[in-house]
Amino acid sequence: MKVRLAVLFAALGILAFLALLPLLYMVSTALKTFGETITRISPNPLSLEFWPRIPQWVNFAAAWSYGEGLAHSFFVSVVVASVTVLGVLATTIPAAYAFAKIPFRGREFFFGVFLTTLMVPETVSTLANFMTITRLGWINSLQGLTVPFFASSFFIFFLRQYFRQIPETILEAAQIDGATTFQVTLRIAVPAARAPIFTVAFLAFTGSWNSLMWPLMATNTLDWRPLAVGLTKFVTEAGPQAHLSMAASTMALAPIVLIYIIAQKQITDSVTRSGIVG
Amino acid sequence: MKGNLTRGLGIAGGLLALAISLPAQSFSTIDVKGVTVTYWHTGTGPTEKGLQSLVDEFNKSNPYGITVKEEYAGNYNDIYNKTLTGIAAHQVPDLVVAYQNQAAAYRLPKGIVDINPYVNDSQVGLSPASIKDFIPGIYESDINPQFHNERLGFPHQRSMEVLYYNLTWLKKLGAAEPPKTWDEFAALCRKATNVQKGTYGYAIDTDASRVFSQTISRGGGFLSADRQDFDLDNPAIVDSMRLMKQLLDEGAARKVAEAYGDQADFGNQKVLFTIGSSSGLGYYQQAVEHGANGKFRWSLAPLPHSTENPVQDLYGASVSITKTTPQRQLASWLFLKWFTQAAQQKRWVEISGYFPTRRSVRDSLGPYLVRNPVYAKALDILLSSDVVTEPPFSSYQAVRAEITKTYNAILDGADIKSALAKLTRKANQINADARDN
Repeated sequence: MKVRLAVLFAALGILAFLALLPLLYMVSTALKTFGETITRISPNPLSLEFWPRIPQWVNFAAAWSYGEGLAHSFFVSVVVASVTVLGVLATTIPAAYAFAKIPFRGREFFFGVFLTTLMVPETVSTLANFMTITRLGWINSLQGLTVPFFASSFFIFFLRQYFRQIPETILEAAQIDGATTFQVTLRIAVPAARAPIFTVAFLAFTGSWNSLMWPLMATNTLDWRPLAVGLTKFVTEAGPQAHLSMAASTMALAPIVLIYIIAQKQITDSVTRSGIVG
Repeated sequence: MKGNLTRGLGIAGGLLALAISLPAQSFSTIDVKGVTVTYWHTGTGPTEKGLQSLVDEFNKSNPYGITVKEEYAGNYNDIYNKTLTGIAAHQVPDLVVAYQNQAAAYRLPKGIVDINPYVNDSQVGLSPASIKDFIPGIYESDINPQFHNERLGFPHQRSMEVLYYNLTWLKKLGAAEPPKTWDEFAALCRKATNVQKGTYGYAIDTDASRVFSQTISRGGGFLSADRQDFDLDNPAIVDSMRLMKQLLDEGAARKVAEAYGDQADFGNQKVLFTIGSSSGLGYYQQAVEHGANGKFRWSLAPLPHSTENPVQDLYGASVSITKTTPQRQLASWLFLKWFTQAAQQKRWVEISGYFPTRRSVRDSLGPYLVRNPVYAKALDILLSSDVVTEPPFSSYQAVRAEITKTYNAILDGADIKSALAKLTRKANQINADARDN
């Protein structure tokens, strides 16, 4: 048994190392001088050449202010991702609760229709969404970047699975005490589903933060260009200056990694309890 | 009754003949005052700022009252995807940078216009002297035979494939000048290879343009005799692939493993030759300045060739005019015409490092050429070589990806002739699908 565990941990350790290696490479390159990115190259983190001689923390400041600077794109991403999360929660929670706990005619049919939209690739809906926001005059706007993503079949499905596990007796007791459906949702279902709601919020935030194709389509000017687009332009500008590109990429990734580190327990817990596998 | 019918038909016929014989609308009757046009480009950093200054100058000085708004819209692939979506949604810029094959893709759904009527117009077009000033090969490069020789773009910049070489090292190997034939090239690659020192002759980049430039240097091409289909298993391509595979197997060539890896190896004096775009000059300068093994003399040359004169792969995005309104289209052309005049071309060269499209610009670039002798040499190569451009088919974007896949497969050991035969069939299938759509 102990040998089995040891072998399992060793295998997981190797896989974790392989998964972390690109991130290590990114950070080590971010801390090198330009010359070192050309002369000190090694894929092996145990080799001295993998690491900078003297860490160049100034590269992060340089990347932050290089060219048009990442600062503006960074703050746009924070705003866009935050608004997207609020919109997602505002639509997903009521929809998931309704599909889980409110009996109405055609409930299963409509839920099935929702699920079929999961099979539609994003590129197919991109054109339709683009035409819609064009007609609404939402190009280069916050609403153009966020509203099309307020509703997600996957998130509704995910939360519905969790809401279904809430015992009916608790909800009925609250209704007997005079609570409306809205109050039951807000005061009983939502607190009970904190972990999966947080997971939905995290996934929505990450999706918005990393989105490149849609912001590229929906913006023509710098005003509402989020970080992914800013980073693409930055990498083109920086050219072979890999140290700056990697410093910019590290800064772009940092918020997501930080949030995940803080909340990983809740995320893992909610995925396990919702019964979703894969 | 019969008489009235006959009279009616006669009048109708007369009107029809009159309509056919009337000249097309004169552009001089279109009012462009107050028109604003949008220009999507890929410029970033100093290039973007330089373009902004040129656009500002046009906006202040043009006598037509036209305003141009330039917008960075991503790299060429991003702009391609965005423009195709925009054409479907009727939300397009007025001017957009596009490679010739991309312009062909825009033309399929009639998203862009033929620029020939503007170029040839007696009022707003180009004079014969102006047309003659264009560098041979560049002026014709946007004419597309797939669309009845319509001009789908207008050239504002170009670059070409060149051979970069380490001159200091070359001299140590006993060669006074860069190789003129592929046999000389192979021999020098072998001489440069030293397993202990980790040096080698050529850094292989499997981009389709590398294949094209090597093929045309052997007198071949990518197209069939009627220029309607692809022919990617002709002897010139087979010979190119064979040589690359041979050098790879001998260790005299290595595949480029990472972005800018060939430039990094060049700067570190690990590789003797690379082949790449002349627009990469600045990056090579940086790589040499920061190289690990000290400074050295380097330069560029035409590719080795078995043709009588060097034959160079000339490429570059042009600017296409999208289908909007007659006023916006004309305003777009007037800006494009101004942007491609010699005075603006001179400034654009200094901003972007690309080649000008007009011959006369060379004479006005004096100080710039003195400061940038390697660029000066590249420009002289362009002006003295035969140039060929890559296929302008709408399918070429997808075919390029297949060429790269096949090149990699050949270097990994696939049989050259059968791999290229399969590639030709696949490329023509893609081409046929694109034509049918």
